[in-house]
Amino acid sequence: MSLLKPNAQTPFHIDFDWWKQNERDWQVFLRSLLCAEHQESFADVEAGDLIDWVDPETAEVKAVDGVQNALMTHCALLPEFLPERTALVEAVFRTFLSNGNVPLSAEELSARLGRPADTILRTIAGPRVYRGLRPLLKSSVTE
Amino acid sequence: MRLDFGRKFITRLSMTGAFNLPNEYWLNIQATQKDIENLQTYLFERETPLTTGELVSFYIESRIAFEQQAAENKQKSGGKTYLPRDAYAAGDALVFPALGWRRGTVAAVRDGRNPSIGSFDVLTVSMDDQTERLFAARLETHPLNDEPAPVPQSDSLNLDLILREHGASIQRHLESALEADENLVQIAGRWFPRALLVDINQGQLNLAEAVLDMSGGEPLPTTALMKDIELPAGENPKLAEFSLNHALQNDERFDEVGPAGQVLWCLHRLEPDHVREVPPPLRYIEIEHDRGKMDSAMKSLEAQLDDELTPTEETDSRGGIDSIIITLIYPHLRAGTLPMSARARKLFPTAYESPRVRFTLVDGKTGQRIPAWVVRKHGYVFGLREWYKAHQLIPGSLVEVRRGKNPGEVIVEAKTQRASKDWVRTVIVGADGGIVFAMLKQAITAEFNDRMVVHVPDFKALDPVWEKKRSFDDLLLLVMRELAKSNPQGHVHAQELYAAVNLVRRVPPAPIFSALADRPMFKHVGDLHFRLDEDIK
Repeated sequence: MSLLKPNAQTPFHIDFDWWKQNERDWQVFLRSLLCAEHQESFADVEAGDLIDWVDPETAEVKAVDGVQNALMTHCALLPEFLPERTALVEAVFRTFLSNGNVPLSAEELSARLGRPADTILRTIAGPRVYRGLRPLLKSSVTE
Repeated sequence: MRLDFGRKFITRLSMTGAFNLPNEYWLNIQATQKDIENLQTYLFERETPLTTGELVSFYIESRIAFEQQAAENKQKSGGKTYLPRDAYAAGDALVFPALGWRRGTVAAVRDGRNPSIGSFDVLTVSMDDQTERLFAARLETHPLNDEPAPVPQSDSLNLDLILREHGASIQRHLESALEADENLVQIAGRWFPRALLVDINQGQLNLAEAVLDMSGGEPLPTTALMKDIELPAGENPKLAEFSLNHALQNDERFDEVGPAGQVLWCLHRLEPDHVREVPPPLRYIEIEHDRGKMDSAMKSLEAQLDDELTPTEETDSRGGIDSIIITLIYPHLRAGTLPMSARARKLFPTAYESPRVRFTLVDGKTGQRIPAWVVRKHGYVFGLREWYKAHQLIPGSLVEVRRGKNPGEVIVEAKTQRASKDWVRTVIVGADGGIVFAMLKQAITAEFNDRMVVHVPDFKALDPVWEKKRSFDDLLLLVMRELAKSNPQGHVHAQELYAAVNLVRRVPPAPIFSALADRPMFKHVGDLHFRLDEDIK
């Protein structure tokens, strides 16, 4: 992890790898976010299981995390996914799911969620990591 | 039609399946025999003569279509076109249009796993670059199963863009290729297959001559001639017109004198003498000189003098100028002509082939219409002798030439003023045939250029001086010496010398200016003024 202290311009994202390695309940939590339709169709698919995702342009097949993919490509895009009144961490987490996990700074999150940037920064840049919400490391950018 | 062009260039199907032709393709394109045959077929089908410019569009489109087809055929020859809805087995050879027509062979087939989709297969494909990729099969719903969406046309195939960037060069090389083909004939810039021409017999040509005779030298369009010539009924009128044009062109009695895009016929023998032959005052006997001796100030002055004998840059294009003011020199005043200088050329009508173009000059003040001729090869406009006389213009008078309101018309206007007497340089011819200059009070009717004005009391008095045929060096010395006398410091400006030399011999600026720059006896005293130092030989 970078030793630099994050500021309001530092981009954050959901570090799924970190989350999967460090929290045991991640599978349960992710599955709980699926919409009713996908709760049913993915009943036999464990969170973390790979499925065959078909590219809509070329029909090329790629192996992706089934639950995570359904969540980010469908369920998180439903209007009810981001309720107006919700906990700050929850709102940030859901924002990243709905935008395809594109990194956002505390300032950008503030503009989207209508919460103060410094409050967001204090919450997600504190010593405790919530749901894999971590600053984007430089090495991740250049990868 | 299947064409087989001599292709040297690699055409491209991009990763999205879009077809491209590289820029070099159009830069280096050469018309092949197949191209010409293709264009002939097009002309046969259209039964209408077309210009090279009109054929260029078809030529480019044909080439694009051919190259596109050839590229697709080449790509499709690699195997079955992959469609996600089809079922495939191991060993099947496939081509993938959505991946730039890449090829591959199915190595394995397994069930696909995706609860959102349902039942489908996943193919493991060994691609032609030795990589392995997975593709869906037996997939009922996928955009690739539908008719391919029209691929946005690449700029490299946009006709307008190709014409804008390469049209001129493509047209030039196509023109050469068409000229080399004996099966095509060209009249007034339009091409047509020789085989389709209607026969025009000698009797019909004699009738055409009689019609033009009746018009008394006034040029007539082909359609006017057709009214009096019995052509076979049922012929396509455009084809009949083109055939008659072709027959007239090949008969020495007739001369095509229309401006570009318009065909007008005249009888050679009814054309003015000075259109058929260069008027004596405009005849230039080449004087050896080195243009490289002229400095930039001389070249700049040369460009302003509007002399038709000054070489024009090839890059000069038509348009961009709506009017110019020309300072008349004696030879043009005497011959009743205007120079077709690089600038003036842009205002007068031109033609595709006709060496002479008949058009109308309109007096900008009175509206008088003056029949005039552009003699393209020798660079002058003929027809103003009477007009010059009527306005009492003198060498050095200013004449404005403007673009006309109607095609085929050019406006000419003498910069006339109220007649007054003014001191101007006047040339006097001695009994011995020598000339002297004196400042005399003369009647002036038009604005003039101070340096170039020279009053000539009697044109005929100068004729013996013209006929003396002095050497250029002697003439230059004589004129310089005489001009120097009329200036207290003995200074003569290059422009004065040019105008004065042309009183007795037709000479463009370059030989005079080169001599001024090169001969030690001419001392430059600044701003293109020179002093004669006869002590130096």
